[in-house]
Amino acid sequence: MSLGAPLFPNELAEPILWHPVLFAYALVISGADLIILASLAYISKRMTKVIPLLLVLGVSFFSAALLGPLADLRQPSRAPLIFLLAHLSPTETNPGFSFIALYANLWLMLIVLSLAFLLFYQSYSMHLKSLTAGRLRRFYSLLSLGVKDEKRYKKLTPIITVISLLTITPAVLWGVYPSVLLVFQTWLFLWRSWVILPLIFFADTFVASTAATLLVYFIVKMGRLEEEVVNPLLKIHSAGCVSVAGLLGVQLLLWNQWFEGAEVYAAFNVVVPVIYLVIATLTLSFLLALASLKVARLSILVSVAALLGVVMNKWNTLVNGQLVSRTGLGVLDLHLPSDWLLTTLSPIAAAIFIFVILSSIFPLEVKEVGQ
Amino acid sequence: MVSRRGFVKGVIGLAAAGTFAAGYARIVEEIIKPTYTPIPPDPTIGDGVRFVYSSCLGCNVRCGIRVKVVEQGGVSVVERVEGNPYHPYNRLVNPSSQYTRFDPLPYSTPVVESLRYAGTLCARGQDGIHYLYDPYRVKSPLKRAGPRGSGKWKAISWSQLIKEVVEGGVVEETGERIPGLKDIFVYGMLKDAGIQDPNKILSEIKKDIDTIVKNAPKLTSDDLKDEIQKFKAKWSQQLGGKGVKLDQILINPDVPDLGFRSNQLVFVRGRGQGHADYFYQRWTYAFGSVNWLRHTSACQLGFYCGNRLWSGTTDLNPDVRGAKVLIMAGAQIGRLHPGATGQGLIMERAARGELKVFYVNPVSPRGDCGGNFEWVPIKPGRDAALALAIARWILDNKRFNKVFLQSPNEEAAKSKGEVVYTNATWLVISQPNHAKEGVFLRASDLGIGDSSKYVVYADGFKAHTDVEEAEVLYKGRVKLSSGEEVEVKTALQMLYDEAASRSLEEWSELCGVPVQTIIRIADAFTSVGRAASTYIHRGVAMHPQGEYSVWAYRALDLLIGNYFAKGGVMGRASHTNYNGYLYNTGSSGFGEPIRVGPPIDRHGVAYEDTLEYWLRAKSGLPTYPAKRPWYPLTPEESYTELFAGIDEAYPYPIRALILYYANPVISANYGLKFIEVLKDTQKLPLFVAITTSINETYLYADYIVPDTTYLETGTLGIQYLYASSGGVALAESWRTMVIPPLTDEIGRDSAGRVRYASMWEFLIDVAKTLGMPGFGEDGIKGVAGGKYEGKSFPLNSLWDYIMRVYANGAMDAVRRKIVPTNVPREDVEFVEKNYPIAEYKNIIPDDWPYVAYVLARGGVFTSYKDSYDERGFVKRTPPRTLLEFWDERLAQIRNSATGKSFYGGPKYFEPSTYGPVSGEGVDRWQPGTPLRNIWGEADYPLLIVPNGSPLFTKHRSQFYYWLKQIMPRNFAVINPKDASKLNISTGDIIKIDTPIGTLETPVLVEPTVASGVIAIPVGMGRWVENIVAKPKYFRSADLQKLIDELPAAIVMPEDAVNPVKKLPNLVKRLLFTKSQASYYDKGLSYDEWRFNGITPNPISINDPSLNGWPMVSWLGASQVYFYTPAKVSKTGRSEKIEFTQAVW
Repeated sequence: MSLGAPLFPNELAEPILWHPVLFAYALVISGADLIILASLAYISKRMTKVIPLLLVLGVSFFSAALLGPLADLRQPSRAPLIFLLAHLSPTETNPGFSFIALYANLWLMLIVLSLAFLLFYQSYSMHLKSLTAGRLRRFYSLLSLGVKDEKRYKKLTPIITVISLLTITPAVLWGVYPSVLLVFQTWLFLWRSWVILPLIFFADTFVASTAATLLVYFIVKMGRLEEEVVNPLLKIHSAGCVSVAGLLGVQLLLWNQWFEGAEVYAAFNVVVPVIYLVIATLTLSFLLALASLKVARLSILVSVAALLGVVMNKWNTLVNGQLVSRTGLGVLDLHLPSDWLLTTLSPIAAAIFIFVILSSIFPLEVKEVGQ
Repeated sequence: MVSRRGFVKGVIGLAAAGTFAAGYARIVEEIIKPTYTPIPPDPTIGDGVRFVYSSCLGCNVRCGIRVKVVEQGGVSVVERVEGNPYHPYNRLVNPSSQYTRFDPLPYSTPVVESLRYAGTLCARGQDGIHYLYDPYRVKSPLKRAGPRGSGKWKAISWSQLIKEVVEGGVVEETGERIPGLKDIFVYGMLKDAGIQDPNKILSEIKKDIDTIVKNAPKLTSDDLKDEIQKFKAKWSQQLGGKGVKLDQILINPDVPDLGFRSNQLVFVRGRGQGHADYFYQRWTYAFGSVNWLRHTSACQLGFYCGNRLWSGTTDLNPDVRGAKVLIMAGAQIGRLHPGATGQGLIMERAARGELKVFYVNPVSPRGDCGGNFEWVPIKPGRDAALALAIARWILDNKRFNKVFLQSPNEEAAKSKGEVVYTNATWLVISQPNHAKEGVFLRASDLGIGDSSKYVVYADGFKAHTDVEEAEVLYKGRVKLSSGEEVEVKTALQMLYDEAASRSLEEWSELCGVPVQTIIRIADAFTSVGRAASTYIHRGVAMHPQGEYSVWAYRALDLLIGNYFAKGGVMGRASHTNYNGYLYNTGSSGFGEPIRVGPPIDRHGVAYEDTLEYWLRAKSGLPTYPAKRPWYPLTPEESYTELFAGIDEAYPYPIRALILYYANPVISANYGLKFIEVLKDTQKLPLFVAITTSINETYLYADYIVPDTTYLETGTLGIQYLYASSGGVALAESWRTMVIPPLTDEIGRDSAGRVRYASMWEFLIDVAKTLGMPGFGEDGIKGVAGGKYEGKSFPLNSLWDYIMRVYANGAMDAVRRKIVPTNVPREDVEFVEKNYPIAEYKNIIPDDWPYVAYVLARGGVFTSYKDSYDERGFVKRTPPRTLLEFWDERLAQIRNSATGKSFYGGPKYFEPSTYGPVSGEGVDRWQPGTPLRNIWGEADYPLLIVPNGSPLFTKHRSQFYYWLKQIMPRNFAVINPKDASKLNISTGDIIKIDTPIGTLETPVLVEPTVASGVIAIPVGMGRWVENIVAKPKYFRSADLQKLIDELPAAIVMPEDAVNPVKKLPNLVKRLLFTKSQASYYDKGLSYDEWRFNGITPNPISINDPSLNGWPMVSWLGASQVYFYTPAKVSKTGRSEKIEFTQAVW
């Protein structure tokens, strides 16, 4: 370790505060983007075939979102207090408000809305399923919300449209939430210097969400892919890949502009090589996506490449970003608890498990009423 | 039949569920079975919660604190220490303007309202809780139960302690007889002999001694001896009639100016503050000893002495709030007054672009404040080279304040609106080797006036009082009335010639600062009028020649005339008349015995003024070298010379040492040497330690007196603030009791008030037992002219004393209109409800409301904006109006080793020994042998700089539990350039060799220290904290035996230590989160953290020209910390230093 200049003793006293489990958290909140895509698809009447998959996957992922921070808490049993005692408005003794508490409540709102979206959207399918469900008939009948015919289902369209509209704002806010939180942590040199991080994160969640959808779709369909479903996803995915790679490039240029020659410039060595790798991987995913438009089965490679890039990008931002000292002049050693990997994977596993359950209940392909 | 898809889905689902369950099982368990016990938050205000404003003692800065105390299970528990928003250092934190923290809360703000605001406070101040709750604290009196240093102790009662200290005792285990103080209490001896007024006799003896000393230069050897014989005969007869022998009264009747035997008691304090200081000075003087000594040589004595040379006062530093440019040299950020908290103001102003700081130091600052905090790395010991280079540029370029400097007398200066003047224009006889070389030319030398007038040049030679202006730069020859012609120069010319003796390039080569940087500093310093200042401290001063370096920097202040100007150099703020407004609570004037004789460390006395000198001189014996040096110009005391004096019985043997709040063995350079004295019961027959815990020095005590910390009754009272006290006109910090003491109860006073074991009560009881004046029933006198004139008051307990101190301060503050005559009832009620001291309000019933008003604010403070007059000078009276570029007293005193004169002005010197060791010096003024001639750079290419850190400044700091978690241990820090030469990298364990010994430590390689320097953050490396842990990190070349002889284990009754064990369990667990219960429940359980790290002091430099005693400065006798030559080698071992541990 070599330090370049004066140090603030009190600013070096802390090892990394947020553990990699939060990195899993950043991945599963891509569920918010899936909900956005589902909403937009519903409202615009485009990509309608993929709405059930987007919605089920989105709800599955997003419902597991808080498991990450819950695992990172030193006293997880006190977690409900964030809903019960949320500091959402300033007082004289406690000025400001809790950004985290605001988002926790926003999560609750979005999960309710997206579940409502899912239930209303799938209500007629549930009715149809109840007709052949045998012992689960009453269960599916309950989920049908009383919708028993297409006419009645059509009457729900305005309600579903309103709900889907309502989901967009909190979902967008959630899509950029971790990045905004990181940039606000001005005590960490790298995060406060990563000024376009919210944009990168927002674009990155689209990459993650579309990659995840493509992967799931590939598995669900056992490789028998429909262009009608895959191609729109590939187009969004391609745009996301290009955006993330481009924004990362812009950020590199900005750092170069601001810090080249300064002693702190060396600090960027912790993240810059990984950024180059991310750019390369996402570029590969982009190129594969173009190829997949011709050969749909290649989309599995698109997913794998993109998810690799996303994982590297998230790790780089969250974990490596904390390793650079507050002065920007030194690099911490990374110490993780022995069970960090399992803990990190568990929210993702939970999301997958929820998806398996929900996908068993709700069909991933719904015949549009009227078709 | 399960479909293929369903099967895959099921497998994925199960795998996911399994992974989740495995990864989340721990979290689920923590949710279901929380590993913590839910505890409701403590109340923040209201019943069971108290707030006490007091004064911090994390360092010596005296910040204001507000302490929150919560009653828990019937025990008062200190829960939080924060800054006092009324105090100028702590500065109000206003939620609406958190980044503009310049102003404290207005003094008139009601105290209840003040609770809405907080003041800033450094980490150390906040961790003061662990000083109070330290498991290693001693509660009960202890007596050694084995040979000195054996680590064997037994508890004794308070009454036995007092009895044995007064009358003497026996160490039952060894049969040793320990003498008591009674044997040397001359005043009491005379009283016991039936002499009603011992002071009448003592005064007459002193008068006779003074006469002999005064006449000695004029007498022949035989006449002088005859005078002494007559004196002996006279007083032997007079005292014999009372049954008293003269040698019971005088240390040595043949050398009577050594004084009375009471001098054989030495009271030494380490950290002393406020009325603790006045109190034991009062006690020492009441005993009749001249030996009231302080630790100043280890603190800032070189700085004090250097300032005193040119200003007549010791403590000077800038008004950092008003300054626009600071040259901050050897003044550690976060350490020097106003400390880590107060210096936040400097950083804030620099960050806002209001202040430019040139941080001259071998160790970097902790931030650059947008480029306004500029590190100027310098070679240790070469500060004068930089200062003189800057002076040269200023003088060459005529950038000095000529109008200010050319006033030759006070009236001329005042007519121009100045508050002080300088001797820049006075002519110095500079004729080499002339008998009067270095002396100011007098009007009488030229026949133009009397000898009280100096000569200046103003179109001819004139008396300094006869002209309004004179030449500041002049040199020439003048014919004296004796007919002799001599060379003369103005005092400023003396400085200029010294500055011009080298080119800027040569000065740059010496100090390591580039020429362009020197010019930039000089230009900036002279571009803002008087709002520039030097800000200097230990790094400049704690060198053999440190006083000259201090003066060289301060000459820059003189050149721009910033003394007492806004943004310039100034002394301490005024304070109330806290020792003499109503009651005499001071250290003299209460009928204390007459004192005579030099102190054991020979400070403040010239060898040439002693009978020893004249007896040798008149007998034709060589007068030089004296057995040990004398330091006539130093203002305070020296550890080295104290212990060397005891060891060599020079100027006289010592019988008893009372050491309070000190640890010279580890805190002084090469302090191991002191153990030789401390172990020797012949040279030091009685050693009493007053302390909160047993340290490396107290291990050798005969008796341990348990003391209280500053959050109880320790160092209680009123404290002045050090320079420049936030630049305000008047400020003083009041320390009061936050909780009742945790030491043993020792009884009750006559009014039934509980007394606790402490320094205060120990000294009171000893004084009363011996019958010392100033203590007991009529101990405190009403002040003449005050409302209690002619009355006497008791001093039977701490409360009798301290309440009257508060009354003095408060009532004087009323007179000054700082405290209102109508004190709001709510403020008094607040104090009566919150402050334990209120229990004693009936001692001062009339004055109590005013005392309460000040206690409620933690002191008396005035505002910055009202502290300056319309000219921009601070509304304080300068200690002296004459400031000096040249000091003829210095030019006339002599080196006790060689008899050569010292140079009388700012000058660059190579660090050297006090006397010559071998060969000649590089300069005719160089007193001894340059250290680099003894320990050359080829053998020792590096220098050790033991720097302080904002976290740890004192070796006692190991109880700071929270700080230790931030900085668990220390290490050496070296520059990458030096590291690469040695192939060393961070984490390597290196061996540091000095001429004194070796030390092994992990190293941190950082460019935060200058090349050529090994920085070692101080404050660790302890080996005795009640428990003994033999240090393995160093080996002393000559004194290793003392370390090898340390006891393997200590024997001490557990009940005598650890006040923490009485705390509620929850409090203990919260206080000591990283420790096993045995640490805080037993009190004698080993805690590695208390003993880790290193200190370079045991292997730091000594002076081979003075029998190998720890090196001190030539003029001030200040410990030399920053010039230990060293070399580094690899051990081949390593220890990982985590980045988070690289805090210093």
